[in-house]
Amino acid sequence: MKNSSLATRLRIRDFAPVLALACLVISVVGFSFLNSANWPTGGDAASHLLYAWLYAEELLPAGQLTPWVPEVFGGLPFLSYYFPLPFVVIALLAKLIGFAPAFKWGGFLAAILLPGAIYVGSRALLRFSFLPSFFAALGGLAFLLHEQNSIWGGNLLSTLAGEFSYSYGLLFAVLASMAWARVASDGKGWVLAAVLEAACGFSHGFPLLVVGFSTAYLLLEANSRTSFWRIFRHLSYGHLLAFSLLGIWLWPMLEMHSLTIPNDASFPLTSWTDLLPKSLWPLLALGSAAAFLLYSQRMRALWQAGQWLALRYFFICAIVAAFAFIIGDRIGLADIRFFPLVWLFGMLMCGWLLGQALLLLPQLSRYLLALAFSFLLLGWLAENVQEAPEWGFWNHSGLDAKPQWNNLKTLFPAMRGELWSPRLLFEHDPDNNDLGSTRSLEALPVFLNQRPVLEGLYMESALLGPAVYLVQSEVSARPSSPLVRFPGASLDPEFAARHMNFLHADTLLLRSERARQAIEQSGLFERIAEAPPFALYQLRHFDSTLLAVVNQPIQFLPRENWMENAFDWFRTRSKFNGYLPVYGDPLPIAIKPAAPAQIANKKLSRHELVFATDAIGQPHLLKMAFHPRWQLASKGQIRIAGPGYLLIVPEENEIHLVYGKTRIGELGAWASLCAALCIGYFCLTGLKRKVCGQPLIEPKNAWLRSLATALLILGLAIYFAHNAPERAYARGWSLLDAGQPGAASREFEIAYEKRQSAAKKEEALFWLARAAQQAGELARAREHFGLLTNQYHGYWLPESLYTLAELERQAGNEGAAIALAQRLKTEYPNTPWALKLEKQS
Amino acid sequence: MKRIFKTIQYTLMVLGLFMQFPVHAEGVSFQLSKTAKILSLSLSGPGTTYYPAVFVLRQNGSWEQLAPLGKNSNTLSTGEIQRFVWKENRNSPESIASLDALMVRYFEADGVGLGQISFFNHPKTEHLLRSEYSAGQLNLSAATESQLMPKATWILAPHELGAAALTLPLQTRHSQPSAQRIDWSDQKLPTTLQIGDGRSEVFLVHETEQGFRLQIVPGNYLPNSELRSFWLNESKTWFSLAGITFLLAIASLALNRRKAAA
Repeated sequence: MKNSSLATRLRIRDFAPVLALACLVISVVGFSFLNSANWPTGGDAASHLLYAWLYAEELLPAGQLTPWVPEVFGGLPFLSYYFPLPFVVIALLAKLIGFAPAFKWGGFLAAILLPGAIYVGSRALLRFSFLPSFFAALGGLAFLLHEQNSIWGGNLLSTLAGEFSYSYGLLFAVLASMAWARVASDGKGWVLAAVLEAACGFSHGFPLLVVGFSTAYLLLEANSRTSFWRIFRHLSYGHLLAFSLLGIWLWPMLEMHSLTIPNDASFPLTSWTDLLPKSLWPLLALGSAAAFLLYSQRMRALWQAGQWLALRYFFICAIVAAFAFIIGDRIGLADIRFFPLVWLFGMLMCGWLLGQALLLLPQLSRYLLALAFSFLLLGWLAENVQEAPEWGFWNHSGLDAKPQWNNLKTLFPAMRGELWSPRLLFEHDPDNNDLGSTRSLEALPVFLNQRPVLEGLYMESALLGPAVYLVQSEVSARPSSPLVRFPGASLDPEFAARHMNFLHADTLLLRSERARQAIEQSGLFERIAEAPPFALYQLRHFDSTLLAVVNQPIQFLPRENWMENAFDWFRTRSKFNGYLPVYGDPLPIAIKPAAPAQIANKKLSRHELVFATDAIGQPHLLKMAFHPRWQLASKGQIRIAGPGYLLIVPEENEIHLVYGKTRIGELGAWASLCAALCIGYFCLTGLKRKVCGQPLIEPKNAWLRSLATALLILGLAIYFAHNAPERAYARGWSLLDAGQPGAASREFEIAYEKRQSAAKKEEALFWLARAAQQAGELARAREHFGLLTNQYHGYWLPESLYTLAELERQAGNEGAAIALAQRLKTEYPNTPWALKLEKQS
Repeated sequence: MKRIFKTIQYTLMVLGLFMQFPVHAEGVSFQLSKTAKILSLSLSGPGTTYYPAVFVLRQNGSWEQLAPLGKNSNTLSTGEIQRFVWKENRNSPESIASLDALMVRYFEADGVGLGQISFFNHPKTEHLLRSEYSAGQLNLSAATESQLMPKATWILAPHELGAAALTLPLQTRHSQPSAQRIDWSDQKLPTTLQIGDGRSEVFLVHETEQGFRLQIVPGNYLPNSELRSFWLNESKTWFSLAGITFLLAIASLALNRRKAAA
């Protein structure tokens, strides 16, 4: 085994494949459009634009790594729950090449570098020769170019859809895994592994989870007690260093994790090809064929111990990712984010196997065959790349090239404001795709002098998100309802007007004819500008102020399940009209004086708010999202109120709020600094004598151990898959479609019992009741509709009230039917079910 | 250093191979109708067009944009009508303006600018010249089967820049250069014309002894392929190369076997 440094293992000729592969990726999305100064758009990228622009222009230069962004969602802790590294890269690039090209190149940088990084990592970290490294890199290219989906992450289509952070995560996950394999086999490089793992964490959480948990397997690669403790020590040092490096960002995120909204939608598979994209087939076939050659002693002799270990470790990484995919939605995570790692690790393994197998051949035949396979792969990829070039053109020709955007721009003067102006609400309409993306309007603050809009991108970190999407659904003919746990409503201009006032939004941008008609008929809005198909409306009787003394009665409620409670309060008329919920321990509140309170804004800045008030001891509602980093620098108390606002009870005439750091946040920042200093120290002094170990000798039963581990994980996965509520739910639907409602209701019942979130339970309960109704089990149907109407308050409630009223009437319970109908009319008067009921009566 | 320089040089050469060709987006069709003073434009079939404008061909070959009647919307969708000020032509039958040639210019959602030509006084269609697109240029040559040689030919074609122009912000104001007139007494066939990167459909209006004759040259755009870089359009080449190198590898293996056996 040659013992050379990482740098000397790479020669200048090794950069040729790296460059060639990068050029191939660049060519698919278009070199000239990546360089274009047009503002990029397309998918989520259209909305990322706002944050990347703020970050590059204002926030990062001001030293704000995780700033407060009042431009969306009534305030958002930007990057407190999302991944900073890609935004830092974009901000730095923007200084060199201008913002728009920086956003595009920065967004695609990880994807462009991935195949080359696989090549370099295979060569330098795992000491593979040219062919296995090259075919592994081609595997990475095949993964990037697959077009089976555009939302799972990692491939070019997903990156074009805006998931560039994930592609950074994958890049560093692969490199970190290679580095960990080297640590286990050679006893070297745990600092590098830790740095790469930290970079992975700064880029995306899902790859970090897979890398982090998979490393436990490396302990099984130990062939003696000494080597076990050596690997254990290195893993501990490395993970601790990575965890410390991540401290500045990860520690406060873990601390404040409860203030996020899980978006655990599951994505049912439509066919087996969902799991096996066509672009991967040739290398999968060739790699699998090469795997059979492992029976040959000659083939096995070609592998060094560290390469064997890497192969087994990557196999386990893929199995762990598959396991996480199966259980993802049960632990509140998006399951689809895990599966791309299965493809990527699988492709790398296939590439290594194929490349190593070719080494069995004489030199000329080997390179000719390698060329043949490379051409075959390129041809296959060329055949299967269909969408990416057009998506690249659409996205990167950008907003400036879209005629509808130019049309909308004529309304900008009427929409402009400043950072603390009342907010703008816009209708969600799929037709807005002609603006570049259905999310383009979320970037409006960039063009409106930072005037805030209600809707933004990182909905999982927006406490006001459920309320914002509810009011969006009340003004949209085709609402988006993106939060699984907090479903939207339907067109309801009257409630929307009140919600808008409460959410401090005075302007409404509409597009659809249906929404425009409904809004105009309500008489609650005044049209102030128009650029068909868009129309801009001003809310009449808007009297909201950013800070006001609470006028309605207050109800103190426990913090437990406060989000669900707040959403129920916000969408239920009687509750919304009746009181303001405040969550947490009750506060002593002074008796309200007869004279109205005098409140003045003394300072409004992104990270500091100062108000003067004469209502000491009175509850003040600040119409901005709550976050623990908003702390009172003046005397008083803070609570969460209403849909997620800050409620302040001041104990002096000044209310002084500062967006600071929590104790854990400060500790995390210190930990990052110490970790960085440690790395600097290690780099300067070298680690060899201190904490490096001896190379590992492969244990005899290494494959048995890895197969046993894989089988154990797969067994668990099969158990979870078999018992998955989504499986029962899907079976329920199949039975319902097959005309067996009785059997279907039993399956829906299983799904109802096993599902976790309230919204998903409500959905299963609704279909359980509906299936029972269809099966003629009316008592059972009534029981379950009754349960739904008593305990749930989501999307299915109006329809359930309507159906239950009908069922009660049929059962002769006229009183109950009238009460239910009354509740439907009062609470949800503009829903299709209330309107249907009205027509019938 | 020299090596690095060479590497950069090769990289730039490779990048050159991947530069893109322009695209011609798929079109929609319009309906035009007129009264003495009003020209109405509507869209047939589903879809939306952006910033539609109507141009009329004048005697000197210039395309004159019709003024909108009132304030027209920047978009035109199915079921909507836009009206423009129309003035009846009082041109002699020899004038190209007597054909009432109209061009509707518009943008598609992606920003690609397109145009469509139609005639209120449609001339008789006759194929008088041989015409074909080659490497983005329109080649005209004498048609052997035709007895009739035009005196002159008007080249009516929308100025289409394709997708490549969209690396810059969209200019919503349409620009349409005048129609070119080729007098065949001054210019000899064959001849080559630059129509524009969009390679649009071309209307050749020939002036003959018998009056105007129309010849339509189909557009030369290749849907879904212009934005694809060189290597993505060459899958057959890659497969052929794979086949050849595979055979060579087998041959080399066989030779090796023979050598080893000997």
